Amino acid sequence: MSGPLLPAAHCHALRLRFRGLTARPGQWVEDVPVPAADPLAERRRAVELARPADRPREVLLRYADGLCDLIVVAPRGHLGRTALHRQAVGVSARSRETAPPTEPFPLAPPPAWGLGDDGPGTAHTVPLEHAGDEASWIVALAVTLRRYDPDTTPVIGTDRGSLTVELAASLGESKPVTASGAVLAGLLFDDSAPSAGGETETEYVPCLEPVFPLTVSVHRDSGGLRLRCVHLGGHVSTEIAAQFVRHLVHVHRQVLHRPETPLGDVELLDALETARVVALGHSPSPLAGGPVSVPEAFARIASATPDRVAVTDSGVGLTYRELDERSDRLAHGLRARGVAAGDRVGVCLERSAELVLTLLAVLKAGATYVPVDPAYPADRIAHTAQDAGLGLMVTRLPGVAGCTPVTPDELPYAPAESTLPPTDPDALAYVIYTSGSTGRPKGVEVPHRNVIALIDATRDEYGFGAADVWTWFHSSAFDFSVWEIWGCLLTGGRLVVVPYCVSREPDRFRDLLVAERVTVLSQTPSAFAQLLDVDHARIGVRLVVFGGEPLDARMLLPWLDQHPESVCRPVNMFGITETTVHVTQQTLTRKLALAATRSVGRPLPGWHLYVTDPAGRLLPPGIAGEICVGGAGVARGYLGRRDLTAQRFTADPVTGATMYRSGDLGRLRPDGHLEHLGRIDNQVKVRGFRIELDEIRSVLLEDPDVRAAAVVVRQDDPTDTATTRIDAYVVLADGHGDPGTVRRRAADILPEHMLPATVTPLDSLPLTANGKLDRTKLPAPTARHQPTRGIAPADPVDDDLTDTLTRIWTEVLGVPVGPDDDFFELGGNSLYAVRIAAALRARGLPSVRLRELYRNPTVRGTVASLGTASPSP
Amino acid sequence: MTTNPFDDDTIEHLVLVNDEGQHSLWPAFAEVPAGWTIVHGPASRPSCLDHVNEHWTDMRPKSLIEAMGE
Amino acid sequence: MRLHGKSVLVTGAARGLGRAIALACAAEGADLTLLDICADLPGVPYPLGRPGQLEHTAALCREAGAAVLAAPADIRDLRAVREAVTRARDRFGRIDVAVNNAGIAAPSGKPVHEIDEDEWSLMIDVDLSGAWRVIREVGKDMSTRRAGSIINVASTAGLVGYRHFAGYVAAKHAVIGLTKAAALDYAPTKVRVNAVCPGSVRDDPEAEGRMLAEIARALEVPVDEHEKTFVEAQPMNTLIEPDDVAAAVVFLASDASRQITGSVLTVDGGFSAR
Repeated sequence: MSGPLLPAAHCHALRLRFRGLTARPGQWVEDVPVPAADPLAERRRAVELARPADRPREVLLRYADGLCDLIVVAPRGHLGRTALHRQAVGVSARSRETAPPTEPFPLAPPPAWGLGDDGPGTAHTVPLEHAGDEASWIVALAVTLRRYDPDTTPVIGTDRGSLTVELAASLGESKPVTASGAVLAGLLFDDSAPSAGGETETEYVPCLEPVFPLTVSVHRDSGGLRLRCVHLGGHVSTEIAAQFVRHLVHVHRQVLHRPETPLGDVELLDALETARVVALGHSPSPLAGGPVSVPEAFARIASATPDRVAVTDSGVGLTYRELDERSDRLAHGLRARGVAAGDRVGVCLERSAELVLTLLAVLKAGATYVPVDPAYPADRIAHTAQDAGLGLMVTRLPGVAGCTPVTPDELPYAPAESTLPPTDPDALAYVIYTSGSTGRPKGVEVPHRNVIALIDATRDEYGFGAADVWTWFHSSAFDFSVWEIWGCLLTGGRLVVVPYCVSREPDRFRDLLVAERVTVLSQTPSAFAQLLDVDHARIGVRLVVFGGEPLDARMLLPWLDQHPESVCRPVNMFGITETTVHVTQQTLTRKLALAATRSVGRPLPGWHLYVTDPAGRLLPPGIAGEICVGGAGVARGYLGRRDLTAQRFTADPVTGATMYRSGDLGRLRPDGHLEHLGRIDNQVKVRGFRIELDEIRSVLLEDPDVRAAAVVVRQDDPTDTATTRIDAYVVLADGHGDPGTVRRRAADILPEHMLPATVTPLDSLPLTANGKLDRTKLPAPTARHQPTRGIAPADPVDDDLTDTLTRIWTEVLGVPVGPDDDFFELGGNSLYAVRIAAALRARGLPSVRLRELYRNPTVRGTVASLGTASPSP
Repeated sequence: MTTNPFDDDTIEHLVLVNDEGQHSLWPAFAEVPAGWTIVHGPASRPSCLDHVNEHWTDMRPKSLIEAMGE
Repeated sequence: MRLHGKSVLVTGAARGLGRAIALACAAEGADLTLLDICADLPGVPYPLGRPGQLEHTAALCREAGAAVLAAPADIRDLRAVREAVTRARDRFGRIDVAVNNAGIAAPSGKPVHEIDEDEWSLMIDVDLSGAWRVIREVGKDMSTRRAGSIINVASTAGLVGYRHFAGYVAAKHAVIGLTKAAALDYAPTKVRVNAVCPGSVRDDPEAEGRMLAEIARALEVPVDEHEKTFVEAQPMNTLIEPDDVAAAVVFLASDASRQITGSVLTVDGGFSAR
């Protein structure tokens, strides 16, 4: 597409107001039957000022009240501003003999920051104090455009060609130079002030249609010096254009009055704009409620509804009173074993009522719980115990390196008098570990008051109360469980424990949701996708909360078909462990799902966010930058990592408190909604799990046989998160090791969701000219050994079950399968495992428990274990 | 500028502290926000991080330390 | 405001259907170029549009907020048409819509073999060639700008025959043929050409129309009872109002019909459906 865009873009127009004027020959005269101020007269003026002409046209509008407007329209190439005025007042104006041809120039495509919405390009006009000159405005435009889009060299159009401004040391040293290239913004500058010819008012329109997608003009009329901006709605939305103008004017002031300013220090936002942007990043509602401790909040609920069921585990219910009393006894038991206020206690139990009891007990004891997943490799559990300095770990595991294990049965103790201390809301409630980029996970310390704030921020919005039934689906080691457990118990609801095996089988999960009449369902989009694969019509939840990974809103359509918005409210919550589970909330409607919205909504009351540029400065709506979160959810920091804490939890520019730099890329919209755009670094989400690829790489590098390593995430089918896969590439020491062994060693350290699906040996890692890993040159991953595809295996196994299993695996994994091929090396993962289990059940075969699959990841191994296993529950 | 200044080893940094005793790394070129004072720097980033490790001995907010009677 | 910012040219705009069409376009935000012969024609047995009537149409349009260029023009004269179109372009920059409404109902009322050369030529020249001349003068520019809508006001007499009306019927049939041919010429450049076929349109006194009365006279239907006579022949038992036809024209002028071209929109209460 090339400009100039439309004939009207070539023309400018002038309106002169007179009190009575005699028509001249050659003028078109229109008698408008209303006074000059009438809206009809307004419309007529607007139409004439927008009507292009090939040569000068004069229209005289005579109003009913004796006022009249003379409107002159001419191509800018025929008559300049001054000549236009002279023509209008009857002085003969000689047309330019050779109208300079306006070269077509390539139009830049719509910029990402423009938020173009194909709306009408409303003109914005603001008064100016200082005219500057064409050069000062070109500099101001270039500097502003560079701040909006640092990756694009700005090419600014004018009527006489395109210009750019090269990076210089200061504003004063910046000069326009000719340039070519795609033009997004352009300038029409004419500050001439033609003298009056008896008119009482002049209005000048520099162009009748945008000449460039974003056209800025500086001109004078009887109202004074003006800046006018018109734009193409498809390139830039009206709000962004209006904001751009404000920023441009502020930058121009600096060009004129502070030319010594280094380019990097130029301020984009003045004080008013900064305040506006800060306000935009806040919730429209205030946070109600005040900081208390979790036990105190729980006590209020327990005393209000003691006989209501608090937790249901495999059909067995525990009332609030029972939960209260039993957790008291456990808490006393902890204290009797030396747990003091502020201590950290490990909790490594299966998802169960006793886990909830234990968490509550630790809090009541004034201590901080550190949840550990019993399914983790022993090494990882040991690392957590050591890093957190755990003296005690409540667990049913036989032994944990470095700390004293105690089972929940051994704890209860009922002293004569309660010695449970009150807990300060600023004390820590939990430490949850997240993937660390330097090789081991780090613990996020979250105080009680943050948890309370999360509940206070959401209770009223979602109407949580005693009638609600929540699921607890997620591992206690992931903070989504904090939302599930405390969101429920601190609002008086009933918490339904979803056992691990049920969570891996969507139809059983569906049955549980129906049987328990769950009303509040929290899910990662990947898990929810599995639920959508089964018949979900009978599920009667009233609220679905999505979290943990980005949501493709279109996936909700089949859900919304069966569960209309009036019955079930889907909400997407963007969140970070370091800011207490959730940050923003976005209710999803059918309309938003159809539009595939990327909005994650506005912050929760009490939370606020900024989008910052690489230099840490506040960015206005439209421009992408790092999402920084402040307010009631900001955690205390990383346990034992003060230096890391000082780097990630930095000073909030406004509040005097800290804010967390998320490393997530995002952009604010003019209505305050946040768009989440991905990561800035190497952190990824794989089926809801937060993973630092560098952590996996670190672990691989610890292998004595590995000299170099690279880890990438791939997703073969963009619409199917099941196809997300971690691929590792290693350079092995000469003659030592093989990928299979590397993988096995990694499996001792990394949890299942972080294990690479493939490990491919390379002679060397491909590098770019800068010496960085060149991902594009990594080859397709190879399996550990040549899979026995189609070749007769050593021990032919010849029974129906092997046949069936092989066929199912082949179908689900989409690759040929031999009886000794490793499931994970064929590209398998937990989502595929669920599908295989479903396929088995559909054929009336016993389903294979996921644990079995991990233990015997081959067809042969599975058949063998099925032969010896007892019927699955 | 593609490196975040907080992670940039080539520029000078400051260590800031607020009234809760929280420490924050800060790029030396940036304006110090209200409520924070400079306690170290301008200095190299490693020097600032060392200062943090040495001086920020207790990550609990001051108000909590006082409330716990310490 | 479905025609906001559009420049519409209407022939035969002094009164009747032309006035109704002009007013309907003005109400939708258009600017108007109004043309009419503003004189009588020797071969036509009834008075045609008057300058005063054209001025009145212009005044009504202005009241509705339109800018108006009104001028006498005889559509039998190619140069006159060209001059009028050029003036309209000078005034408004371009013509977005052209409505070929000008037409005569008589001389009629004779069997085919009684029509003489001049009478036959006159009907064809005004009712068919007039439309062709206007299309000829507006079409090229519309094509270059890749935007435009041409509406030809034909008649149910362009779809079916009537006794003693051969000249009118032939001309109106031909207008529909012209519509389709021109539509195909201009389709690649997104310029649309369509026809509206009114049935028996009531002569609205405010619009100063008299077409129906003249048709009645030509067909030797007693003029003071002609409405009653025509109504009886209508399936919906009412005559068509000029506003009904104007509404169809506005639809075809607007972007709502941007994929409609070469088509015939019949506004006849079901008359030609039988």
